[in-house]
Amino acid sequence: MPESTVDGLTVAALTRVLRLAVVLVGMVTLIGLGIPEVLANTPRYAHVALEWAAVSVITVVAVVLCGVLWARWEPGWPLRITLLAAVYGASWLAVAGVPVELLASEAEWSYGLVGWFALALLMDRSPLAAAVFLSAHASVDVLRLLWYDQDPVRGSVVTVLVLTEQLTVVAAVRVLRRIADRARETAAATARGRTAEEIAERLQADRRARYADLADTTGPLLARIATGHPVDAETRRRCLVEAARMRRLFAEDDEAADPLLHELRGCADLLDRRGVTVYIGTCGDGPTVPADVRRALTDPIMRTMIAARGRARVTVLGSPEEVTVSVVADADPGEVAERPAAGVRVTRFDDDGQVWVEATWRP
Amino acid sequence: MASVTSVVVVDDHPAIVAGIEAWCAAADPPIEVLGSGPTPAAAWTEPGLGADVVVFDLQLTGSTPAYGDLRRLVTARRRVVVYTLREDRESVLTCLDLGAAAYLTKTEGPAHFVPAIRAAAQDLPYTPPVMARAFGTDDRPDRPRLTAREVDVLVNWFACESKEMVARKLNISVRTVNTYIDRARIRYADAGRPAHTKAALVARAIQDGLVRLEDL
Repeated sequence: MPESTVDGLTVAALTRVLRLAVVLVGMVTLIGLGIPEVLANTPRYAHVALEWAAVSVITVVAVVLCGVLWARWEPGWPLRITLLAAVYGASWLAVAGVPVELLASEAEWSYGLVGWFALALLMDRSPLAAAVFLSAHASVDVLRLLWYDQDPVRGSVVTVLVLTEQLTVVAAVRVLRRIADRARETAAATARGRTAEEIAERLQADRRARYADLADTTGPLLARIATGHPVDAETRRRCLVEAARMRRLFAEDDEAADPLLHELRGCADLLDRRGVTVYIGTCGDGPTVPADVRRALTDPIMRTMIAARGRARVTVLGSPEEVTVSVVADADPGEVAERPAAGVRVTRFDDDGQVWVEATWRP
Repeated sequence: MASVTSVVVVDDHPAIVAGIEAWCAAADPPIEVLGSGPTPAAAWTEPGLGADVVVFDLQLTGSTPAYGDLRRLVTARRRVVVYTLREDRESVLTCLDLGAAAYLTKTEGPAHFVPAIRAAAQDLPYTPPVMARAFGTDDRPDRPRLTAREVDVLVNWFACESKEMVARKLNISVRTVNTYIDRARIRYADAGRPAHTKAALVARAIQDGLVRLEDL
């Protein structure tokens, strides 16, 4: 499992626990403070039925929320908004049952309660929306006092207390999110670094193996030249083949838009110095050729190019189904060897001192 | 038509002109170079005015291809063989659209130069390898429709430059290879804008039985 996902799960788990705690605070407040207040103030309420209706609605919302959290279910916005509206509606019901002179007193039990449920519904999606809701709820309460010509400072201690508690939770959620984001970024960067490292290591191993491979063939050749024996045509030809293979190996490390063409050009440079005219042309666009196939494609072509006496015409033909590398050279038929490998088909035609070798790969 | 083919060379590189003169002299029978010059003026004034074929470098001193000069020459019923460094498909197809008889790149040697000049002088089709590639890989929506076999022959002709080897590879005769290549050229001549050289090319092709009217 990628680390960022693990990280995401941890954040989700922490948020869930926090939300559960907030719902529990809401329920404890309802049972420990809200319902006793309703019972104690029953004779003073204008409409006591409205109070009980509000209690029932809030209880239902609390139960639904507990169920959702318990089932580890991520509710969508429609359900969240519905529950939020239910809670807010319940608070209006409760306030409607309270006589004007008792506003902002203990009899208005719903005031400190609504915010907790709103928090539980909003904080994991949008801490900002939670903060806005809480502030709006408090402001409406103050406006209501002004509307009924009551002292707006009444109940200010409760407002400050409740808002401080609830906004602290909002702030905690925001901090938690920020930490999670940073952790996720760090984890992604680490993973990227590790991947790049691994790729580099594998490339390095592959290259080392191929240099070792080259040493097997170039070593004896160099040793033979070093003995001071006169260098015959065959040795010269083999030297050229090895030089071409080295050129190709070096070309593989270069960043080129078309590595296949780039490797062929490397070989063409080599021949250019020997006075062989090399034409390289391309035709059509083909699929990208993997490195091992590229070697199998270029190997018979380079051998033919090296055997050329005066001119070689190299073409790379691409179509969606296949890639063909082809060379026509004025070479002796005997000097050219084909070595099919890696699913590459090699064909050749000889005609009057001309050799045409084609290597075709179908992905 | 005179028995000896004559050309005028429009190219701003003296070495190219000298090379072309050498090729023309070595051809059998020889091709006569009537004149040469770094601008199209060489083809519009004596002695180049009477040449059978204009060898035209697309990239004269300016940085943009001299399509306008090419169009004026073709409109004046001159047979033009474009001879240029540019190998891209767009340039090839644009020149043929404008009515050039053939498009030859400077990487293609006397083996294609001389036949292209002779064919142009007689209003016969000749398709050098790079031109064949342009046909074979053309993917414009309004391109002439070629058969799969025609494309196959064109692409192989581009790859190997030897009609004998293409014939052996595809198990057909050299004559058939030529027919496929010429037919593709005729289709392109027919598809382009009306131009004198193209009309002549198509007329000759029909006379020679290379294409039938219903093919066009």
